[in-house]
Amino acid sequence: MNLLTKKQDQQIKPKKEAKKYSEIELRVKKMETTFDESTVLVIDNGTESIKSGYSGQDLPRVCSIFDITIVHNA
Amino acid sequence: MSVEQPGSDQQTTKKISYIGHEGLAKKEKANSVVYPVVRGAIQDYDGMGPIWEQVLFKELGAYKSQFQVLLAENPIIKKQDRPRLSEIFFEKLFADSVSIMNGACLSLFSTGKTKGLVVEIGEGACHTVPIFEGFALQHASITNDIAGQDITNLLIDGLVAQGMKISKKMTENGRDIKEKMCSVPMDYAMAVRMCCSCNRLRLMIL
Repeated sequence: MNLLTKKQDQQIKPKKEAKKYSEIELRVKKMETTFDESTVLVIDNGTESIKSGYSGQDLPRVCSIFDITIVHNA
Repeated sequence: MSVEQPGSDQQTTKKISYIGHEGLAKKEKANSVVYPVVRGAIQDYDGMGPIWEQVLFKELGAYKSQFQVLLAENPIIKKQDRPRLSEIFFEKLFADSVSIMNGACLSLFSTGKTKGLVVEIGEGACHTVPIFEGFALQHASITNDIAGQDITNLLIDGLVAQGMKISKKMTENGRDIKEKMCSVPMDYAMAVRMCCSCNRLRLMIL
C-alpha cells in the first residue's frame, strides 16, 4: 500500500507543479468571483406597475411606478 | 423625474418624458400619452426605455455598465421579442449581463419548490402555468384576457349609470376606488339580501 501511495504521489506531484492556468482560465476565475460578489437587479414588467429590486431580498424595493410615459415637446 | 430621450435625433423638437406619478399629474397637458405594456405584453419598446432608465439608475442606484439584470418575462412571450429586449439592455442601458426567465417559474422557485401550478392574476391578463422540474409546460399553460383592468372598467360603467360624474378616461381614480372600497363576499346570496334589507347602505352590486 505504501509503495502504491508513494508511486501515486510521485505521479501527481510533478503534474500539480507543472500546471499553470492559461489566460482564459484566469479570466473565467475572475469573472466567477466578480459575479458572486455583486448583486443582481431583478425587474418584472407589469401592465399597471413595474416591480424591481435586488436579488436576495424578500420584497421588491420599487413597485409603485406606473407603467406610463408622457411625452412633452419642449 | 424628467429624462431626455436618447432616441430623438431631431434638433428642432426636444422630447422630455415624464414617468409614473409625475406623469399622471401632467397627463392633461401632454402631447402624447404612452402605455407601453398592453395586456401583459410589451408593445412599445421605445416608450419602455425611459422607464427602465429611471428604475435602474435613479431608484435602484445602479452604476452604468456595472450591473447585471434578471428579467422576469411574460409566460406567453414570443421568441422574436427576446433579442429585442436583450439588445436594448446591452446597447442602450449598457448592462454587463442579462438573463430572461419565465416569471411564473421564478415565483415558484421563491417558495423553494420546483413542481407546481402557478396562477397569476394580474392587471392585464391572467395566466395559469404548470411547472414540472423547473420547466414551464408551454402547451398546457392557459392565458385569459379578463383581469383587474376589466373590473375597474365595469365599476366605472356602473358608477356612470348611477349618475356619478366620472369620465371613462379616469381609470386611475376608478382603480383607487376599487382597491380601497370594494370587497369580495364569501356568501354572495347572503350579501345581496343584506344590501336589499338595509336602506341606509347604497352599495353597488356588480
